[in-house]
Amino acid sequence: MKRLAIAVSALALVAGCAQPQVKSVSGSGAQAPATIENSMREPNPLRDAFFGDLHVHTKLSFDAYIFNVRGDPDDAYRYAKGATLDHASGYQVRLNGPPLDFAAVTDHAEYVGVLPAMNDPNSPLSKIPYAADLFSPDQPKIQAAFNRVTAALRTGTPAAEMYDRATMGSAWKVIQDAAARHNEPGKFTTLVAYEFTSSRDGRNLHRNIFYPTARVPDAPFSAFDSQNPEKLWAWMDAQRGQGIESLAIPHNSNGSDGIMFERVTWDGKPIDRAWAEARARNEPLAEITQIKGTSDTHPALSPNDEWGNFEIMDWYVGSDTPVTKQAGGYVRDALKRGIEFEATQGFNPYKYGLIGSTDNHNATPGGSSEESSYFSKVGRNDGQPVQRGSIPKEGRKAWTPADAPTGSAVRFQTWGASGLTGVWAEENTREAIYAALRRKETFATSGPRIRVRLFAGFDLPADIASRGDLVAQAYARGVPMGADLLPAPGKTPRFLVWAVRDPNSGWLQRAQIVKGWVENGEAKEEVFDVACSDGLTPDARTHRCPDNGAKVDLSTCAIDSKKGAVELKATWTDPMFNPSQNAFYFVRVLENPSCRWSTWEALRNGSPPSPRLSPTIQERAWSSPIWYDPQP
Amino acid sequence: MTPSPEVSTSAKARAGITAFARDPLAHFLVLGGLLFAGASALDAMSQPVVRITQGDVEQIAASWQAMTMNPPSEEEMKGLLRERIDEEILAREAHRLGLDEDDVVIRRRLAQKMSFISDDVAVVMPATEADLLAFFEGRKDRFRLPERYTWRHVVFSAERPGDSERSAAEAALRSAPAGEDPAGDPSLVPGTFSEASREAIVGEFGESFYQALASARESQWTGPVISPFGAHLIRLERRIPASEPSYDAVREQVREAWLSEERDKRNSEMREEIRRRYRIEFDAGVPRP
Repeated sequence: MKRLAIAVSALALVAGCAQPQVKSVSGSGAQAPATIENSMREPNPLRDAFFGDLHVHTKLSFDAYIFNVRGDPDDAYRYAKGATLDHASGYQVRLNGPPLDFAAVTDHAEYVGVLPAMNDPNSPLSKIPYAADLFSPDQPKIQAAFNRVTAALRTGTPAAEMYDRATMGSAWKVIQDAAARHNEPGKFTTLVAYEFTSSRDGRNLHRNIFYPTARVPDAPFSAFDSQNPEKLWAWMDAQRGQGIESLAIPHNSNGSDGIMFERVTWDGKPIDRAWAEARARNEPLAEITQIKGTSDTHPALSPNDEWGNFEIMDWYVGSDTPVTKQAGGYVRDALKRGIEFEATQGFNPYKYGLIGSTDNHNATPGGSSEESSYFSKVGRNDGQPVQRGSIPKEGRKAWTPADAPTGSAVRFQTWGASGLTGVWAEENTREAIYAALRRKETFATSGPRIRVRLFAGFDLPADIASRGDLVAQAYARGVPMGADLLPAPGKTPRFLVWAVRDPNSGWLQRAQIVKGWVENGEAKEEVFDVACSDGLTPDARTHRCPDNGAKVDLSTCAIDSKKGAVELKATWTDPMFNPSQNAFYFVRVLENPSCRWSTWEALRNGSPPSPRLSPTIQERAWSSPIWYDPQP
Repeated sequence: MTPSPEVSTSAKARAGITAFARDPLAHFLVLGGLLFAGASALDAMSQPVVRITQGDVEQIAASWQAMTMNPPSEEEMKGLLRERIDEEILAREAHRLGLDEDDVVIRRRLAQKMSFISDDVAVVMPATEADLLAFFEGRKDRFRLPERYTWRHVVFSAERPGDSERSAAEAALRSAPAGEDPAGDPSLVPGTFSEASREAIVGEFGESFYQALASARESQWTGPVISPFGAHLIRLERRIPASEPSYDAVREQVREAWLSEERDKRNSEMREEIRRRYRIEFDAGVPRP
């Protein structure tokens, strides 16, 4: 097969891309070849930021294989370390920045490795009658056969002829072996992982499961074992009892139609303490952003948050069914429900730290999280701009009524170039990174490697932001993101917020604190700007920074280098702090506006940006929350 | 010629044994009959056979069950078998008539089957230690570690008013007591880097910053050097020259590379061998691929 070798980065350059080319292995620095002794840097007790992608599929996933993706877990880890990979649509892709610090391949456990076997004429699985249809060049036939495969995922009942334990077992081994081969302490961390692909009547309940060591279960617990996540937690508990630690991270709650963070159990009973503890023990984190949309919040849930409409995806996952219930489907709402439970019943099932990842199905960790080199996420199904609705059809250079996206492009146009996970860890090893995930000292970004820190304490010095030893002070006298702030009678907590831009992305516009609290049993929220760029200060009444005037030139996508900040740093005290109210606080950092991926593609195509899409976005980072509980 | 064996046998029965023994016509008929039977037997042997095995029946039943959630009834099974037989004989007849030629789907599938076979052939041989060692010796460049840098820095933030980060850095460098590190602004960027590659440094701090670091004198504070974060004072601790790792240290990488190269080689050898059996011709004006 001929490959049309187009380097995406080259295209970006042709278009006069203003972005610098490469980023670095932030923080790790250590190149750790096996030959050199003492090649690892000393662990930093004050912790450095490491960036990675915790949600990536390879050809072992049933859907990725149908999307013509042929990269395997080894290829995925190579890509994360900077290698070039063939895309399913026939061009080549490479990480826009430098290597990632860590990555985890999370293939769907359901039918893992079965589709490649069905396409191998020497495997008995290729004799399954619809196998030929799956791999025919006839798109309707593929779709019909594929629907049969995905129907099993909706019902949770596998098709007996595809449910080949031997094939799935060897794929699970391939995943483990690749993780073992590519894990290089001090330089690059891998985690053995998989995706539990449960949905209830098409409502998304997916989770990724991660292991801190090479000791993993013989077989993953999949949605074919049970679609009920409670059963997954019970299994994880049992595994933990046998010394196999793990954690689960739910994602695409935006596609759950309100059932990811319900107020009741699977059977519709009220949540009790044991249920809440099982969930919190097994699910310390939530994926707040990825290519299939951002699950922070929704305009319907946060009408007073001017930035709450970021990369909204209002569809069921893999379907044209629109979401009807946002409540229960967004992370901020879950955090609010969590503190309501805490305030009224003394337990919190939804005490989530935050991460971001791509959910890329192209075996490309970190790939497609950057606007100017976006290639979306489902192989040849959305590998070209016209397939994702960013340019007019049939080579036209202007938008006519006939260019309205149809079919899957209606959904694909709403997907976003996002995201990454940041962790604050002593060093780049499995132990240190997993420990950071466990204690929720994590943050999410929409792609850029923005570093953000958050500390809170009743005894943080007032001048902490200007001190040289601020991080040591903050750890000694406060708590970092992901932790609990314990009550201190008669005192008001102080917060330290600190962020630095990604030199290969835009400048920072503002840092905000998003607060949730419980008043008379009901959770509320408010967004406070706490640090402004360009010497501006937040208005005391509106809690907003004045407009810094940063503009984007839509004819070139050039951004204004004179506006915005390299670094934002501030201390903040909550003007509404009430020591008797349960609360959480997390940071959101916003960049100045920049071109959305769809605008970059239109620009390269020589057509105007799609009239259906926002031409610009504001890239961002979210810290994990800090919780305040008056009665811990 | 249409004398049926049945006709000849009934004639024989009527004729009686003795008459038969003496009748040349009877001899002729019997011999003709035998010849005919033999010919039909031969004919039957050359007639293509469609055999439905027990395995086929099970497989047909299983996929029916997968689609309908029920095992096929006897009637359904008969229908499925008829379909299966029809499919088989139609496919064979199509093949006999050459309908599979110039069918892009079939051609692609066959080519794919062939390449799967060649992949299978290619993986059979495990590498010996000697293979790997020879491979490593011949390609040392590929396993070469690039030059790396262990270094420290302090930064004066770009957020300082105007260009004052530069003068602050200069002042800090001047005033740092001998043997002590200059004090910079606190930073979210790590302060020490161990054996960082050029890519890592350029990626985060830019090309000119890297150039300054790479050419700095070891164990000495110098600067300011400008990056997107501000003005830095840098101290190169150690420049680790590019080096060739020992075979033992990279054996696993060598094995992986050997395997992938060997597989590619065998695949292309096999393709080449097949290609040699064909002459490829081009119409005038067709570009040579």
